[in-house]
Amino acid sequence: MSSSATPNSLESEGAPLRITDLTKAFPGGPLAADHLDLEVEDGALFTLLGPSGSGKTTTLRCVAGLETPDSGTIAVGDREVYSSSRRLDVPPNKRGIGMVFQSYAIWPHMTVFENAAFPLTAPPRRRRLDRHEIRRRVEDALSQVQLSGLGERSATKLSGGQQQRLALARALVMRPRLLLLDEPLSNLDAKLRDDMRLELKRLQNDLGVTTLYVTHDQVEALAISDRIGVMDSGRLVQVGTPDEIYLTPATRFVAEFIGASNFVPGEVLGVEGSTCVVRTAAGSVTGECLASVSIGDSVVVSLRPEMLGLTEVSGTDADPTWSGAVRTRAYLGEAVDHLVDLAGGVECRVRTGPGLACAPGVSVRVNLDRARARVFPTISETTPEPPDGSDRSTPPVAPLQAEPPTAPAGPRPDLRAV
Amino acid sequence: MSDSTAAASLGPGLVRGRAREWLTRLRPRHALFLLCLVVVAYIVVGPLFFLTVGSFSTDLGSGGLGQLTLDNYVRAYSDGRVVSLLMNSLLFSGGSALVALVVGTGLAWITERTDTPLRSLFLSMSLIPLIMPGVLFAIGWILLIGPRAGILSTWFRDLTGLSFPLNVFSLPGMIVVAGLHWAPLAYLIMSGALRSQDPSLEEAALMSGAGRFTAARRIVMPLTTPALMSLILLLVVRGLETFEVPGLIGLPAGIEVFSSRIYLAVSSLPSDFGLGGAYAISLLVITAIGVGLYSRLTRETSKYATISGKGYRPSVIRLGRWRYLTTAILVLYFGCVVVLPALAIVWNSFLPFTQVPSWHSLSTLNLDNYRSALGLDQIRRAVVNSVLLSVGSASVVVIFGSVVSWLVVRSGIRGRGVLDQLAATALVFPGVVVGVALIWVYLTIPVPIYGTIWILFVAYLTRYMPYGIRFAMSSQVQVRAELEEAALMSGASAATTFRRVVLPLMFPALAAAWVYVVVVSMSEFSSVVFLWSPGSEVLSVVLFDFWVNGESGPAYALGSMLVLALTVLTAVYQRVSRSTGIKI
Repeated sequence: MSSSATPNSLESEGAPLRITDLTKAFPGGPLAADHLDLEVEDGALFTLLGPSGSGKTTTLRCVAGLETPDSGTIAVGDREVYSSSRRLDVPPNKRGIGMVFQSYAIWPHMTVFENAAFPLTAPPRRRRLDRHEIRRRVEDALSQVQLSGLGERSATKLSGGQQQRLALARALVMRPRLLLLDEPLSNLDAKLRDDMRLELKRLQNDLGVTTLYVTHDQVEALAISDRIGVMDSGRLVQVGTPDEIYLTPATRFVAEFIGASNFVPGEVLGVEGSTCVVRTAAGSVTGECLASVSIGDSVVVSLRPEMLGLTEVSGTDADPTWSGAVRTRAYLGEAVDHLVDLAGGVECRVRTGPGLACAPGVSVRVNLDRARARVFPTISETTPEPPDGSDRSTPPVAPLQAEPPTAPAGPRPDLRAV
Repeated sequence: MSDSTAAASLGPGLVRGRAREWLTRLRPRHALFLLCLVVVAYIVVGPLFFLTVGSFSTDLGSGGLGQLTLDNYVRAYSDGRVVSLLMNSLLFSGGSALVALVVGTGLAWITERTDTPLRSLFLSMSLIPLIMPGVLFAIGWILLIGPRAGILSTWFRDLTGLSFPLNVFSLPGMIVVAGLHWAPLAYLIMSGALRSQDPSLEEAALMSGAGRFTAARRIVMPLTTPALMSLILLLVVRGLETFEVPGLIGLPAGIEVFSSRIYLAVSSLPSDFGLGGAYAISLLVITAIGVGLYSRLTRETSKYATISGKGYRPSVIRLGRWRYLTTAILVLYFGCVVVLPALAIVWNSFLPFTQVPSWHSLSTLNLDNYRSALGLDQIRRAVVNSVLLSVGSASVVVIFGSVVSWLVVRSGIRGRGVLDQLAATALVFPGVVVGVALIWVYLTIPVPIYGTIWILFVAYLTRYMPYGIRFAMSSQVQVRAELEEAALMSGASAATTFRRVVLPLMFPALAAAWVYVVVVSMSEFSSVVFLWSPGSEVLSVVLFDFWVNGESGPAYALGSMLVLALTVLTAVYQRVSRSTGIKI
């Protein structure tokens, strides 16, 4: 695995991906891509994140050339592969883009080696590399994904994780300038998924290949990406680094889709710059507001459970704001989730370290000192469906910026069941 | 890289350039689509059109359509026997469907849900009965329970002094023989339906406190109902279109149904194609209604799709002492649908004249029938023709089917649904209708294939093309789109993708389809009986012809050899299909 020490035959010259004004509609359906603009820097890993039906896979397939957009431009490096104004549509097999499919698409009638070698043996014989070079490149690719020595095995004899690696080797063996990954981890079990996530990130870093990654799993996206684009109904609602997306969601949709949030309704009392004070039934809170919010507006305040704290209070404490009783709690191992009933019927989820947990029935005050509350206008935002596959009622552990998080791999407890 | 960009780009946006580009990029697959559409339309719409027009027209004989008239229909329906014709047809098809259904469902339950011994052996042999050609099956049963010299009826009479309770030359006889002939099909469909049912549904009923019987009545049966309904319709339609039993048993017994009435009209001298056409259209309408209902029901079946695919086997019912009975039923069934009729024919093939087995008859065993059968030009021609036609039509059907299925499933061409629908329409054609319709077509249009082997070839294509397309489509669907797309993304052209990915993955299924079409077309009878002529005989019509003309010896010898050949072919088919998991 010392890819940095020896010259790597797979190392590619990455090329930036530029998508301009991409539009794609399916007959009778909503826009899968709605005047989408997107730029991925050279060698970066960019993730399109969104619920199913948000258009992320369609966008990816347009880049691959497997779908034809209605209009727009797609360029890999300085080469346009699709342009509606130039009426240019390079067929997928001429784009030189590597792709890993959700189902891996490993050909069952070929061996592991034959699968990986296919991109090198697909061109007509006279344009192929010579046999030894092909063998060297394929073996290199297989060892990169830790499948060395399995070349002669039938591809169907591989486990799910190995098939995944093989699909990756096949996509990399042609030294693509751009790599497309379509929910590559969604068919793996939780433990393997965590391993492969790191593995993917390492490979991508080592090889320096520009990568467009599609997933509906926010933990995965936060862990792996250089930048994330959150998609909803064919539009990019926010583009940013993982910590930007996580800490400063631009809309309620993003706040709701990424991580878990408490949404507390309220009314704006005062505004100063990008900060405003909001009165809620549980008490008032200061938060960062984005849009042009003015005094008297109805808003919702988004509070991340893991950025709140709990303080036990005696029953005679005078200040009723942000105070209440712990109704129930769920022990998650490295953290404890509390459901707190606050004044005014507000229900609030608070996550603490296991040493700071409070027992059910105990009176507490919710500590907002480091809450970094976000304030969104109430109106005109549709609540999206929960993303498929991820359970909204069970928040992930806060995945933090640079370090890949360790997500709970075991069964996720239901608060109400505790 | 850059030159491929240039090749794919359109140049500086000229209108002419755009048109040319459109042509160069879309022509091959669109031309292919158009070609397939024309071929399918020719095969499906042509016969339908000429049959319809012909049934309303005065004269043919001379070649060409006469004046429009209702005379054919008047003659067909003013005949005093029309009521008995309708009654016989419905009783025959309904009755044989019922027999097949009861036998097939009972067996399916025995092999799928009980611990009866021998059931796995039985399962592995369940395809064998399907290969028995209808002509041979009918002849075999005449030899077994014919009223005077039938082997079983004679033995029964000798043992009990009573006459055998079932005379094969009667409507009940026809119903039983045809019903037994369909039973293997009913068994296959019902055992498939039982097997694909998620056993946890039944287990949930048991856990809710229901007994085995209640669970069967309230859970298993309702879930099986759609399969059952569509099976009934399939069997009724088959009963309407078949000519084997009505021709070999019904005609001598004087019991006429639609198919035999059509045969009589066409084979009379002079041929009355108009009357035949009128009956054929009537039969087609009845069949179309049945198939319409059938496809409607099977569409709704998807609601009941309970296939778990987890490979759990439902717990079987322990029968205790009753399993001796169920084993006996399995053995008896296999004897009735394969062993007895086949043995009756093989036995008689070694005898100079039809005899009931006895010590005395043993001494007369010889190979004369085989010698004379192999010496007859007619039979030699029939063997060659049958092999050529079966192999030829199977090859064309499979290749054409795979192209059509790719166009329908993957090409994305607008209008591909039309192709699919049109091809499916041919499933409606009963064999006798195809036969009569093709006479009309090739006596009218100036394509000189009437009276040659080519008209048989067209008949085979018409009969089996829809099956070829279905087969290919089911295997095409199994080749997931991503497998093709992965090849494209690896830089392979469409042609390379087809050659190195699609074709190898479909090949085993296509091979199975090929063998299947060869086997069934070897025994194709109800359409070719109208179309053959001296020089273009095939095995089934030679068998029929010899039998009807009293030259049964060579017919038995030929039939024995045919059964042997088909058994070998089916063994091959089972090997192939087991490795691909494709079933008929």
